[in-house]
Amino acid sequence: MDRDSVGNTIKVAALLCVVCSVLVSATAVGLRDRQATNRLEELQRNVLIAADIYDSARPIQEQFAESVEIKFYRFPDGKFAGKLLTDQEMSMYASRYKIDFAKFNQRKTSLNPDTSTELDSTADIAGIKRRELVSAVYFVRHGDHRNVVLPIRGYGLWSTLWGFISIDESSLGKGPEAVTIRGLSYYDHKETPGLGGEVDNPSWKAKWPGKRVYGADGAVKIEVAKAAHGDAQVDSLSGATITSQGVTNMMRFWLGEQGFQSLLLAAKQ
Amino acid sequence: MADQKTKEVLLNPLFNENPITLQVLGICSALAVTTRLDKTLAMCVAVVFVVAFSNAIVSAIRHQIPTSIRIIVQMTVIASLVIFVDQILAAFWFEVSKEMSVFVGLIITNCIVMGRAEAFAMKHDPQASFLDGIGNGLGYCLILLIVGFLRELFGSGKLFGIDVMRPVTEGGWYVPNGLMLLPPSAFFIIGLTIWAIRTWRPEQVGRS
Repeated sequence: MDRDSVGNTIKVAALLCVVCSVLVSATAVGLRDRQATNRLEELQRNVLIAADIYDSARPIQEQFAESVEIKFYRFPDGKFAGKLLTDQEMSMYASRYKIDFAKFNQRKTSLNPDTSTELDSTADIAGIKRRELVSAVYFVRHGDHRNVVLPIRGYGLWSTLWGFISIDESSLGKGPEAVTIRGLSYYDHKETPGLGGEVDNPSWKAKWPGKRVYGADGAVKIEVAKAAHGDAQVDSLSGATITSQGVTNMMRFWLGEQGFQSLLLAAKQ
Repeated sequence: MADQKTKEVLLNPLFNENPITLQVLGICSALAVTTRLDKTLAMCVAVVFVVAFSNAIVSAIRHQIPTSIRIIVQMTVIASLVIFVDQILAAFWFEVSKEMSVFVGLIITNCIVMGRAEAFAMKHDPQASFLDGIGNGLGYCLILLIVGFLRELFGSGKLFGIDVMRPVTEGGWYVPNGLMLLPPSAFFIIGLTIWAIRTWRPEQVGRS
């Protein structure tokens, strides 16, 4: 057989494509469930870490199920103030925007043009381009009170950092200055390991609990700063000025007017 | 005689014909994944697997591959194997796959893989090609682990994420060298390694 003939070339190419695509798709389909479980557990683990109750010795899904209640928050959109959705409103959103609350996926919701709004450049201080209409809010039981865990994200130096910040629920409803942070955790970013990547460092994250979010006027005061002092500043990461600035920016955005401010500053529910 | 040859195919790429230090191939990923040893090790395993099997497969079908599309055929085999590895990592070694993300995919463009398929596997039988792949993968690993060891040790004072020299940020005495965590430091270390190996083995110095 002449292996360089046109017929043989096409035959080999076609055969190879079929074999390779069968191999690739079999692997992808076969491992899909496992990978989805990994991603879900990673998300849940970080909610628990932010809420400061994660126990590495126990199965993540079990811990999550027993201490976390998920509610949904509608961001303010000019006409309405931001608020937690009632069951009735949820079913309305579910049918109007095709949002599947049972399998709520924050990332997909924020990318889908039907379920998110584009931010103009002055409003988009965190560099996220689009903000979803609704967000998951995790109420996590912690001893005798609950921590409210809020999803946040923003652009650092190389990438968008995805994470959670948790607020002590018992500090809400006592005026803006009382609102207290309980923890912070990032589950996805591509910052330089050892520099910006130190947002994952437990000793840096340990600087957050106890910090206050707002000034007396309700403006976001918490920031990452050099030589931090006071109860609304956290030391910046050395060698990572831009990532540190990114963290400050995402706090301003997500805890500010366009984010969860009306949830945190409303009278206690 | 046969054993002699097997040993040569396997061990030559470690020092005598190391793909990184002699041929200066595959250094792009050597910069990207060497900030921490656990990442480096995962990359090594992935590359050894891909080079060995792509070599074996390409060699097994080398008499059927039409010359006009041989590079594309090699690429297809390599790319399929890389996707396979990427999927396996995401399923079973999630922590590491999250960190490596795009760099696993970039094994496709690692010149060593393609280089061995074209230069060796197209001319030798599957068994020799498989061993050649393992040898070259290990040669790549050796340099990567040296670079990763130095970068993690001096950049963060750790090895495999465990404190060796406690950095000042965690209450220790060691001031980490930030340059070691940035890509250029890998160039310096690879450069110095090449210098060291060529001083030891002067016959590797290129003729000008």
